[in-house]
Amino acid sequence: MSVSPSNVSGDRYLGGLFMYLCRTIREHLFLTVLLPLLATAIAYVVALQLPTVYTAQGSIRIGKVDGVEAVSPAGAVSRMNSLSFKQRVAQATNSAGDRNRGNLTARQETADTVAVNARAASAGQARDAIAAAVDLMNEEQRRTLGPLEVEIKEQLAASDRTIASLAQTRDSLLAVAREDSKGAFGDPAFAAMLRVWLSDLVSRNEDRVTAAKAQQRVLSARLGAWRTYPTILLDEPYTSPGFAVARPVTIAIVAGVIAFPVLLIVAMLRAPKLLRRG
Amino acid sequence: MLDVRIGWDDDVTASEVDSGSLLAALVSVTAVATFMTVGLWIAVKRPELGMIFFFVLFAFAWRLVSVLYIDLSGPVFSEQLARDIGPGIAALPMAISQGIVVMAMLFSFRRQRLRKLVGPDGAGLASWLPPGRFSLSDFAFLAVAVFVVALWVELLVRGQIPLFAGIERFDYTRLYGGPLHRRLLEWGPMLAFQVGVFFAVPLLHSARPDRRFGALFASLLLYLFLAGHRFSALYAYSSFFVIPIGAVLIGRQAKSPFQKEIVSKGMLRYLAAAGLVLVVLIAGAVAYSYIVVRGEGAELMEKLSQRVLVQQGEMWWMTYDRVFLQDDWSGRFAAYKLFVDPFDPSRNSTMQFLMELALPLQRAHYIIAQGAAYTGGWPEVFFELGGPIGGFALVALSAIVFSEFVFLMTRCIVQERFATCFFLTPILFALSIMVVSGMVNSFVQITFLVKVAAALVVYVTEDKWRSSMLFLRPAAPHGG
Repeated sequence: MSVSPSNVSGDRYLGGLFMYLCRTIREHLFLTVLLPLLATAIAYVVALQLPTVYTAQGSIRIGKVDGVEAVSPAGAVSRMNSLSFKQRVAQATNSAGDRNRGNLTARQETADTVAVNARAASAGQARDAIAAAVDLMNEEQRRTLGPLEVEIKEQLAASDRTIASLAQTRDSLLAVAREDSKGAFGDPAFAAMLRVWLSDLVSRNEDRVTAAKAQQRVLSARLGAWRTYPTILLDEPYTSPGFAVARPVTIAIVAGVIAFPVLLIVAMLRAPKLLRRG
Repeated sequence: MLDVRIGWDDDVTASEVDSGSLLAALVSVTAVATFMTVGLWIAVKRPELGMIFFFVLFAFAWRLVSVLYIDLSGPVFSEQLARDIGPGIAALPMAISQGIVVMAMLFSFRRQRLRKLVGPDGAGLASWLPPGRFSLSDFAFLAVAVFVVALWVELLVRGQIPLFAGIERFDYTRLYGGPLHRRLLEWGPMLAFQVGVFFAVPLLHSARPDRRFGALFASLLLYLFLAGHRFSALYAYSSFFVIPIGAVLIGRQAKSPFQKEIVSKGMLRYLAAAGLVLVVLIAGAVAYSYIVVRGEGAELMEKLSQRVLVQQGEMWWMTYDRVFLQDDWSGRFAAYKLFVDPFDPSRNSTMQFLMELALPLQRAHYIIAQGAAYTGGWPEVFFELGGPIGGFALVALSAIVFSEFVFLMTRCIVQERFATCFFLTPILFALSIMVVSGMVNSFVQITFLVKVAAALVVYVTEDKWRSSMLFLRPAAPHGG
C-alpha cells in the first residue's frame, strides 16, 4: 500500500513509542520499577529523620504616635522581608544568622495589620523571632517618631505646670478674700475696691485654668491609646510543628519521580534485549 | 576616563558638543550599525535562520534602537521611571551581548552541521511506518480545532468582545476570561509552535503546507485581536509559528540543496504577504487601543514615542548606569532576590528585581501587584549577577545553551520526531523567554524540572525506538 510521505500514521507512531516504552520497562523491571521504589522507601526513611521545624504565625499592628505611622504596613512588609532586618532578628534571637535569615516572612494582612511567619528549630525560638521582629519595629519607630512623642510629652508637662501654677495663684487669691471677709482691711472703700479686683482676678484665673485644662486634654488625647501605641502583636503567636523541607511522603514521591526517569533513561541507553539477541 | 554622562544645557548647540560626547555617540552608533548589518545579512542570506530566531532578533533590534535613542538623545525623560535617563554608551555592551548570541547561533547552525541534519531514515517517518487507522496530522488537527472552536464559543457566550466593548485585554482576562482563554494565554505561543510544526512538515516531502493548520493559526490571531491584544501576543504567536517553517526550510536545504532556492523563495513570498497583513492588523490594534480604548488620542505620539523609543531600553540603561558606571552591583543579593525571595515568585523575578532597584520600593511593589511589568530583563539579569566582566561570561553561556537547544529542536523537526518536539516545546519557550526578558527563576521551579525529565525520557525513547525500527527493517527504502 502506498503511503504519502507526509502522512504519518498516528496510531502506529504513538502506539509504537508507547509499546517500546512499556517493553523497556518490562525488560528492565529491576532498574525501572524496583530501584525507584527502593529510592522512594529510602527517601521516606531519611525524611523521617529530619528535624521538626516549628512555624509561628502572628499578626502585628504597626505602631503610631499622634496618629502618625513611622512606616506604612506595605513599607513594614518590605522592611521585614529585607535581608538586613532578618539578620538583625537572627542576632537578636542569638540564632545562627545566615541559616535563619530566610525564616522570617511578612505579608500585608489587612489595611493596618501585617502577618508575620517565623520558622525555627523549636516553638520557643519561633515565637522569640516574632517578638524580636516586633521589638525591632518598635525600636525603628522610636528612632523615627521618638522626637515627636518627646515633644508632645514636654508640652503636656508644661501644661501641667501651668495648671499647678494657676491653682496656686487661685489659692493665694482665695486667701486674700478670706482675710477680707474677716474685716482685716478697715477702710470700707478700699475693701470694696479690693473685692472687685479680687473677683476679676479669680475670674481671669478660672478662664486660664479652663483653657490650660482643655489644652492638657488635647495633648493627652494625642498620646492616648487610640492615637499613640507601639507596634504590638494582636494575639499570642500560633505555633505549629512542620517539616524542614517537605512532608516525608512528598520527599519520597519526589525521590521516586526523579529516580524513575533517570533509571528509565539508563535502561533505554542499554541495548534492548531484543537487539542484543539479534 | 571618558565621561559619558555629560549634561546638556539649554544653550548648548551641536557645534559646542565636546569631543567626549561625540566619541561616545560614535561608539554607540558603530555598535548598533554593526549589529544591524549582521541582522540584515541573516535576513537576506539566511532567511530560514532569521525565521527560527525571529522572536529573539526582533526584540534585540528594537531594544538596541531604543538604547541608541537614549544614548544619543539623553537626558530623556522616562514616564515609567519618572526620571531622566541617558546619555551614554549603553548600546555598546548591549550590542556585544546580542552579538554573542548571534555568533553562537551562527556557530550552532553552521552549514557543515546542517548538511548532516537528515538522519539515515531520510525518506521520512511515514515511509517506514506501517499504515495505520488514522493520520497523526488529522489527530492533531482535530485536537487543536476542538480547542479553537471551544475558545470562540467561550468568547461569544461570555457576551463581551473586548475590541467592540472597549475593554483592556487584562481587564477582560480578569473579569470575563474563561478557563480556555486563560489556558490560551499561558500556553498560546507553544500551541502556535505545534500548529506551525504540522503546517510546515509536509514541505519536507515536496508537498504543500497543511493549510488546515494555517487556518487554525489565523483564527487564533483573529481571536487575540478581538480579545484586545495589540502587539506582544500577535508577535509572540507569529514568531513561534514561523520557527518550524524555518526549520523545515533548513531541512529541505539539507536534503536537496538544488530545491532550496525555489522552496525558500516561494515560502518567503507567502510569509511576506501574511506578515504584511499581520503588520496592518497590529497597527490597527495599537491605534484602536490607544485612541478608542484608552482615549489617549491627543497624546498618541508622545505615548508611542515613550513605548517605542524609551521603554524598550530604559531598564538596560539603568543597569548600565549601576553596573558599568557606578560599579554598584551584588551578585549574591541579585541571586537571593531572583531565586529565593522575589516579591511574586509565580512571575518573572528578573523584572521585579530590576524594578525594585530602579523605582522607590513601594511604587515598584504596587506596579507588580497590579500584574504589570516593565520591558527588558536580558542581558540585565546577567550583569546584575556577574558584574561588568562576569556578565559577559553568563551572557555567552546563555547564548550557547539557547542556540544549541534551538538546533536540537530544528533537528527534531527535520527528522519528524513529533513526540520529542511536543515535549521539548515548553523548554524552548522557557529558553526563548529567558533570552528576551531575562526570566531565570522558571529554571528552578519543580514543574520545569519535571518537564525536562519528561522531555529527556521521550527524547531517548523516540531515539531508541527509531534505531530499533531501522535495525529491524528488512530494507530501508531511500529516495522517497
